Amino acid sequence: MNGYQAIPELLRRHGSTTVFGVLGSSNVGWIGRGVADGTIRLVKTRHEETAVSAAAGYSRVSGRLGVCSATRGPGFANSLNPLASAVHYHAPLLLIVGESPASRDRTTQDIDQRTLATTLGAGFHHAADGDELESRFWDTIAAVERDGTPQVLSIGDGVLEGEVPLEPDVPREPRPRPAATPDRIEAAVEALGAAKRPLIVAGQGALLAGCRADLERLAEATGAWLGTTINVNRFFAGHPAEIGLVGQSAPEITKALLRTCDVVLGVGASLNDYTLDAGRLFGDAAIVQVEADPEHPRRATDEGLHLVGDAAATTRALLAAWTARHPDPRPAPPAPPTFAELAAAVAAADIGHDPARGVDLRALYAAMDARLPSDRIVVTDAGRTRSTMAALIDTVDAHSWLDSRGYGSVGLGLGYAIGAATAAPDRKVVLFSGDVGFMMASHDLDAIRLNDLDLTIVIRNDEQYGAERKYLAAVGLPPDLARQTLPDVPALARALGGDGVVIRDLDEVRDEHLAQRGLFILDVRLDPVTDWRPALDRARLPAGVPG
Amino acid sequence: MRGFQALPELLRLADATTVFGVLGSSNVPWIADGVYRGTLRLIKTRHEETAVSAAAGFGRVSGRLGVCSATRGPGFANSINPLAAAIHYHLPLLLIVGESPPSTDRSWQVLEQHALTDALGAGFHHAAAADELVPRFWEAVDAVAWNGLPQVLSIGDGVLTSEVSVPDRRPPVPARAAPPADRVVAAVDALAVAERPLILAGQGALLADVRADLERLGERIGARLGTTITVNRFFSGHPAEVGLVGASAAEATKRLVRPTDVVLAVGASLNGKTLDGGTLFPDATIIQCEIDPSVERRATVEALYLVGDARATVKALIAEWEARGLPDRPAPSPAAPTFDDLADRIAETDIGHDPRRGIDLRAIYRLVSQGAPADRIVVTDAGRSRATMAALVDARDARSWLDSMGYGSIGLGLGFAVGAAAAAPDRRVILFTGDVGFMMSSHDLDAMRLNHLDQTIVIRNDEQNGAELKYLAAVDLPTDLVRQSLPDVPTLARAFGGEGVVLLRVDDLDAAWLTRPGLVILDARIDPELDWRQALLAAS
Repeated sequence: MNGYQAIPELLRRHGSTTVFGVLGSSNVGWIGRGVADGTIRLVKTRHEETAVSAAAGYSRVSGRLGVCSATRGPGFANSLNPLASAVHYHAPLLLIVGESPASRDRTTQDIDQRTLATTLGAGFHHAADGDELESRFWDTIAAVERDGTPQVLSIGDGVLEGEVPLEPDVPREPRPRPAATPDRIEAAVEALGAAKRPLIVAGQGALLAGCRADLERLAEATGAWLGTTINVNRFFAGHPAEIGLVGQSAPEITKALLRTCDVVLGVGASLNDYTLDAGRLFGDAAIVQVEADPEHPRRATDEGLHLVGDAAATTRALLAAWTARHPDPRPAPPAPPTFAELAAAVAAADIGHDPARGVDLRALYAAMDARLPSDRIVVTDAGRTRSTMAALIDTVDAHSWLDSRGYGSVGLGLGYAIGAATAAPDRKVVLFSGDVGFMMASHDLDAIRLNDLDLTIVIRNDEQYGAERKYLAAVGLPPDLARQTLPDVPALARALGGDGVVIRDLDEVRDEHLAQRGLFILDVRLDPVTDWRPALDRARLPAGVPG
Repeated sequence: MRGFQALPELLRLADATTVFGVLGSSNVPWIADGVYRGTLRLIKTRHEETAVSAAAGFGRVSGRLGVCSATRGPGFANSINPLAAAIHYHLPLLLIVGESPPSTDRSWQVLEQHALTDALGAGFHHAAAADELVPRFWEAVDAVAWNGLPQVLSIGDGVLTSEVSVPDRRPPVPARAAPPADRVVAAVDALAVAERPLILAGQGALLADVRADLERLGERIGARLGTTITVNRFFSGHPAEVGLVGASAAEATKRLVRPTDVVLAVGASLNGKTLDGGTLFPDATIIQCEIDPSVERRATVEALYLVGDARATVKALIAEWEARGLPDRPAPSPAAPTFDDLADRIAETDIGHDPRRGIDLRAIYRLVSQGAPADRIVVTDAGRSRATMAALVDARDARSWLDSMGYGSIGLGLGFAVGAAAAAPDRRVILFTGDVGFMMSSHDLDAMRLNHLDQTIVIRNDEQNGAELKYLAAVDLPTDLVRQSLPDVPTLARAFGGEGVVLLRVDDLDAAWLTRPGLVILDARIDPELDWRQALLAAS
């Protein structure tokens, strides 16, 4: 077969049938072939930024590889911000591009794609001719699967038109997923055995390895609390030992409990400054780190506690070694406050909100949490107004709670939400976005229309660059420059075949708004003055609730 | 003063009064200080892609430094595509960003900005400490002025809040060198024996503002005056002008310039498009005037490669011609058709247009060319339907005719138009864009509303990725995949405080739309089946 047929065929063999993309000369042929043959579903976006983010969101919700494509040169350049963001989060996605600088084709779309991709930290694989295509493809897949780092597959000039030999279609050998070495397993079990208050912290690596059940069993055996980084909020949703979010963004009530932990087992978590709250959370605790990538910065408190291995295999090895030493499980830890108890406390904290200035963001979150169907998928864009959302809106699991923030980029949430809506057409997907991030991506409200998707968007509209206020205040300047209104959002929604409403009081949110199919936008006018974050610190549990 | 006050002061000294940008933590203090003091106007955009393109458009229209700013990390990453496009065209702009990876600030917005900029080919200047701000700033400004290559100025962590001393005037502008005398002699030797010379002006000629000198030289040596596509209308109105030269030129023009025996290229890269894959001047002697000695050499012999400032070079050529006492040569003949004559022929050529399928785009171009105010500024986005525009829509000079194509990127036209509208608030800006490019940047229709700018947008709407059709046809695939409609454009325009209308027939185009204040969008449903380029071939 030729290259046009081979790429869709390789994607089919891998089980990847959905491609997010913007068409261009270097990708329209193979996408066209795959769509015509029924092996590919193309979800069109108006900008590559959205296509890449959508692949990340699709991957998160479906647990499968996210595939996206951009044309060479400008299309690739437009992909760099979401790619950098996906690199930061280890969002497993494959970006397929045409070769650039062109080696044979006559084109002006020249840009040094390999240097740009590798500078971001993504993998780059180039199939210079047809003979290389299949092996490069599977190399790329293996690299994504290793630790979730996004990979770029570059299709050389002439490959699409040329003959591409493919091996027979036989099931692939599962990739070996080794556990950490036995001495490290023993050292970790030793540390856990001495723990009075152990904590398991799951990060993105735990989600990618799908080891929730294994980690819960390990927690039940060792008497550990179960917490997550912000990347995988709600990973342990509903488990009696779950303590929720661990890190700087956790409520102070949770942080107070976390500070009592003496052994922390991080699984697939980078244990960065945010998770460790700049060293304030686990001052004297022993840290055991389970990490797939030996290159990753070491946070274990002792080299013997740095466990390099697959998260699921290592967790099972830890449980086996633990059970061999401790046939009887340790007692369960004191029950932490539930999600609902914490949420109520955060929502009730006095932070000086004045209803005359606009809606209370926390009340908005609480209303959505109460009114949306329980199998909802929620997505948040970056920005100041995101801080309390993880504590106030619940979902059934971490595959239903998406944060597009990446390395501090606004505007990628819409892409994530489009990916989520594609992955789960039967579930309610709600994007929460600030006004600035909303407008930045607003061209791709059109992707909802073009692909017949359902998406509800809640704009946390404070009519300003909220995050920039403090930088102006820091140098004694007034905040006026950071302020601007949104355009007429309901009209914008209608232009794109949807509908929308401006909400100045939460009583104005009607059930039919939340039940609307297609695109529906709620432009919620927030109190722009209140700093919401202190609610996390000031929240207090009512008497009688443990914690 | 402190760094956040020093930067606006430096911009004031550089005669830069407008900055296009998206605010973020690393740029909001200095932008706000300049705005609050009244020395700086901020044109807010919704995406950095627009801000960078707008600075390029502003620089083109105003002839001044285009300044834009993005915050570090994601803001910078969002600037990469328009930066690459600006590099391709040597559009003079300065992009001011915060340092990343951060050296002392606590931030997640980590990106290897220096390495990324190097990979694109732009200049990068990092002020690591407060005392480096002033020298790095002028170094960047001078580098932009040298050959129009975009430059990135990176402001180190802590610089904005540190004390900076700013001298009250700018350092002397570096001298502009003429090429060596022997090269000037060699060039005039070649021009003196030329029978059908052609002067070909590119972006470098525009940057050096050398039109009058080139026209004088052209009148001395009897040359035709042509331009690359980047500076279409540079010689607008001159009797010897032959218009656009290159692959995109009308066949009639190509025929006129094929007999050229000496080409004097000034600030033009003479790439495959300009030389039409080598078919335009296969046997001509090529003299190349270029400021950057590292640019690929196209001169026929080394002695005809003149490295120097375009204006200094052209003045030296005139001086040498006059010193030899050479007489003025006769004007070239036959005379080239005027812009309007050629345009009318192209517009009337039968290329199989069927009115039932949609509007003849050429008719729209001609109506705008004849009906819009004479001092209009026209901008085009990239795409298939752009092919005949350079030949059909006139503007009074090259600073009023903008092409955002860069290295083949669509969607940057709106940014160019935002910059043009900010540079010339009393002139009408008309953007022509395809439906795909229009939607790609449609978030920044909001920049019109936020900054009270006026603009008419004409969407060349063929309801498809027109340029991609041929790639599907080449492999016998159905073309449905590349077809899609636009949303409801008039409602979209109203959402942004503007007005819009769908044009189904040429007669629907009311000239009032070309002058109405604010944002006006014309969604012109063009015949999607035609290959407009054919009109350029057939018009001979």
